[in-house]
Amino acid sequence: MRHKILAFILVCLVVARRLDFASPGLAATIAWIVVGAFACVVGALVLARILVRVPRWVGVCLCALVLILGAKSVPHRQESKLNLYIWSAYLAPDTLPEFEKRHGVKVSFDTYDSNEAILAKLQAGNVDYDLVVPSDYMVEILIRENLLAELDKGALKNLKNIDPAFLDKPYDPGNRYSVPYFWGTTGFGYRKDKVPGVIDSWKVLWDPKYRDRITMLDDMRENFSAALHSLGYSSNTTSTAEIQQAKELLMKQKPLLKSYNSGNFHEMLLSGDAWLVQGFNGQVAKAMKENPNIGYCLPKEGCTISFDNLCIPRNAPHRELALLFMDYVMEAEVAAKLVNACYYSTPNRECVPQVSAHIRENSAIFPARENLAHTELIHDVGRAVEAYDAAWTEIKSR
Amino acid sequence: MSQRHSRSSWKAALLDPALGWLLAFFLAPIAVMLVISFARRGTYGGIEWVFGVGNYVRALAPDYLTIYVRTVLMAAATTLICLVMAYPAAYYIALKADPKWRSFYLLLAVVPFWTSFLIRTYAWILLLRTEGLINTMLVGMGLVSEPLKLLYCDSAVLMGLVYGELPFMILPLYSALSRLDTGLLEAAEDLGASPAQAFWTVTVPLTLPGIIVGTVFVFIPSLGAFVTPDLLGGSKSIMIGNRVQDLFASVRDQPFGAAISFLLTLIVLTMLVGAMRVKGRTDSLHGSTI
Amino acid sequence: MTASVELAGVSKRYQDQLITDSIDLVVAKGEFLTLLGPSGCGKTTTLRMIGGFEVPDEGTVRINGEDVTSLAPYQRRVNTVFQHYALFPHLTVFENIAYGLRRKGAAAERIREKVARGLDLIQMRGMEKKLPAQLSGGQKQRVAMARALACDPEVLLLDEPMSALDVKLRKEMQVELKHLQRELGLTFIFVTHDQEEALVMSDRIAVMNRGRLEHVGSAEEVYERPRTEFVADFLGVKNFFRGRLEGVAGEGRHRWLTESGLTILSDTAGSARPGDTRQLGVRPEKVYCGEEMSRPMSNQFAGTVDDLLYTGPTTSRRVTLAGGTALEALSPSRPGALAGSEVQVGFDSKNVLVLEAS
Repeated sequence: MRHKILAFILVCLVVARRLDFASPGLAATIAWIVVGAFACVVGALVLARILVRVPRWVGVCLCALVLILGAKSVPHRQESKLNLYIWSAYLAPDTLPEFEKRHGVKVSFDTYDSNEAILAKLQAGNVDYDLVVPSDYMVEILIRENLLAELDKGALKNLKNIDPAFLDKPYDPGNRYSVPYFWGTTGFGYRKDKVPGVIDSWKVLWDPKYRDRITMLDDMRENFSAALHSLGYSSNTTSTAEIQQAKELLMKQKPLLKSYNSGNFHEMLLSGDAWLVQGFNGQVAKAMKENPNIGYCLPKEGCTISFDNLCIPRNAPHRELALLFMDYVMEAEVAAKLVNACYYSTPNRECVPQVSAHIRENSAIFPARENLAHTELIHDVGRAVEAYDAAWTEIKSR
Repeated sequence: MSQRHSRSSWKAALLDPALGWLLAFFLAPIAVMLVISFARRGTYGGIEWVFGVGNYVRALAPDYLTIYVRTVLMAAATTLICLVMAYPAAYYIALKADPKWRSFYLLLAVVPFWTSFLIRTYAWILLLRTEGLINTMLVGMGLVSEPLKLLYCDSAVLMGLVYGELPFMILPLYSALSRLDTGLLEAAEDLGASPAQAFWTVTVPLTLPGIIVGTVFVFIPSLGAFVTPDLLGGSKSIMIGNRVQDLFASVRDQPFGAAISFLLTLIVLTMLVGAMRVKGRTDSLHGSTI
Repeated sequence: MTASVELAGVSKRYQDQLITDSIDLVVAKGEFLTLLGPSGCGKTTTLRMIGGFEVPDEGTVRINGEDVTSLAPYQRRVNTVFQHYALFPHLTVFENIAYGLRRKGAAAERIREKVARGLDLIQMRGMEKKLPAQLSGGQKQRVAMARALACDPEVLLLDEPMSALDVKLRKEMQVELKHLQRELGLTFIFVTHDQEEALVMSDRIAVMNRGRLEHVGSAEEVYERPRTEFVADFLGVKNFFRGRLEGVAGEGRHRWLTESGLTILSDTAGSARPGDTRQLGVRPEKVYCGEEMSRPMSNQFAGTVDDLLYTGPTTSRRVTLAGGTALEALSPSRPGALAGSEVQVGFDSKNVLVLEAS
């Protein structure tokens, strides 16, 4: 018997591991709560039956009870409360308290660390977020999946504060569904004390002199973006030949790399473990504040630009409140505080005078406008993603 | 399924909580995964219900075979190193240590689990990185002229896996060794076996069930590892777990991810059945179970 | 006769407790010697020191004249049959018996031959493929035997090998074992706490008590003429008297006066001189009661039967004498004195044992 229990636990362990993989796209949180409760009770019952031989009907009744209770207990939050789903470290300390005070409501928020999490949550349909902050390409997908609500522009008086250069982008023409919150670029950070000379090109990330001091993001599209731009192609190409050339280039680079790192490349720059790190301007800017020897380069060949945007899900319970909040964060003063706290680039032109001077002068956060000329948004490339994925697998498998 | 089950009516299937459990947590997810694995990625990351075996054909491409081979080799090496390291530890705790201290030693083996695996892995990064503690010390003491490459290589991944899985090997081995009748070792010595011969001809065969369970406990999670190769390997030489994670999270090719997951599950299940067979046989020999 | 095993001044301590106290023992080649004693007397430790599982703190162990005191078990040509057999559960009967031979690197052909001979010896031909878990207690015991013998030991050590068998099987195995030993002409050192087992099988018995040898002698000698009170008690002497040697009576007999005022005559006085006190003992089966006494006995008393215990072939009676002394008499079951009846009890002076202090 002990043997069987052990085998059983073992199988469950294995399944648990597999479920880890399967959950992002498949599981709705609520379903898991019900299933979890079911698991606990049934598990206890199985044990109990092994130990004391509970009659079968008790087990059946309990199972049924759990299922009924589980189905009933699906939570429905209906108070007047704004539910925010946002990237971590994307709010200033007083952003929410100020809003709560002003409108006499509660704001709660969850954080995520990937756009795919938003997609999964909204697709599952069981959550009641009022406001989400997806990146550009994800806005495109959410619109296509019919998961976003159209915005009532009349309620957004502060929309005028947004620089028109950051509006009307291809992922949401006319900003029917989204307004930009922060924007950023993917260039590379470097150590001025270790990497001398004029740094203005991706080419330095291919320099064998810096073998084992270079990191790239652990992200397929950003890697290809760097390679495609240095080849003079678009980072959204669907041409197999161009993808192949980019792949060759990345393969050539791999032996020079210390690691693929999306999480703490700025810390590696600070500790001196790495001297050249492909990364997002926000993190590099934070590192620049700590160490003046760190620089940020927007490569002249071009690079990725991205927008994180405020959107209201189609089934948001508190649309009015969500619109109020959207308008609120576009106020110049609020937007300035966000920049001062988060170190990201803002699309809000009116707030700039109120931003701390050292941030305003940081070229990673406020790059010269002409340097943005060659930046490019990442789009969903549709079927071509398979070609990218195959090439990326080849790079990673070596 | 046993004959008893196949012959009994659908009622019995509904009535048996154990079967319900198995259905809910094992068969249902696998069935869902299996169905999805034959579907196609929608143009924008959804699932298109057009069925075919394309995903499985892709999953057998040379690049993937390279990754499978590396994954299996990595998991096998992890298992072997864990076995070699855990056996003496378990042997000491079970047979040599003062019984008073036995539970304390076992506790020590489990204590790392009180901290999140991610945090422990980051701690390793701090130790191993170029400007980290170990390299700073080595360079400072003049033992090496320039920092060693300790992090972001296969050996770092291996070390991380061994570190993470070692307790899963120690515990079943301890369980097997603590039930070893030491009288048998005396009998072997009495019959002319040197301590080394007694170890190989008596201790090892009699603790085989523990070795099998430990191997399963270590090999299977190692096979699916993705955090360690990501953080300690710098994601440079990936294992199959990283690929599955990528396919679900960033490429959003759920059908293909499901196909690879299913292949992996199949391999693991085959192994489990094999291991259970061998273990069942040895158990019946020894009249013992773990 | 050459010595097969020789212990000289062997002592062993566990945490200040003396387990064996300076044991001297010589076992002759081909002899069946039994270490007999209650549990905790040190007999198993003595055996383990011969086997090499324990190293004595003092003294030497010699086997065939060679000092093996500090050699490991696998370096000695001595094999053991363990109390619970210690058969390897993962090996078949064949492989169990072949284990020792394989360790010595014997050729396959020779192993097959020896194992076959071993199986013949224990009459278990055809069982070679079985696993220990599939054997009965008696079969396990025999396999353990064959396994030990397959190594051609100089000495075979047996640590209470019968203790796990039921009574009937034990009796059969005792006889079988004795025959086997005679046939092989091997030295057997046998440990038991069962006096009957010891008497049936042994050439000599060494009775142990509290880590010391109390009496070493042939089965008959130990039984008939136990040296000490402990040995007498352990081997079934039930009637003890504390007496002072008064002097010599007629016909070379010695006269003792017990504490309860009885006068007892004995044929010997051992080392006692007049005025010395000694423990005297009489076996219950040597005490005759009522009609069994066909002739007058040298020690004869009047008493009352106050207890009667019928065990089948024998009946035991407790008779209380005038001075309050109780005597136990054991006789073949036959109609005789009933409880409460007045009887004469008596025993011969030649059956009075004069015992040394333990």
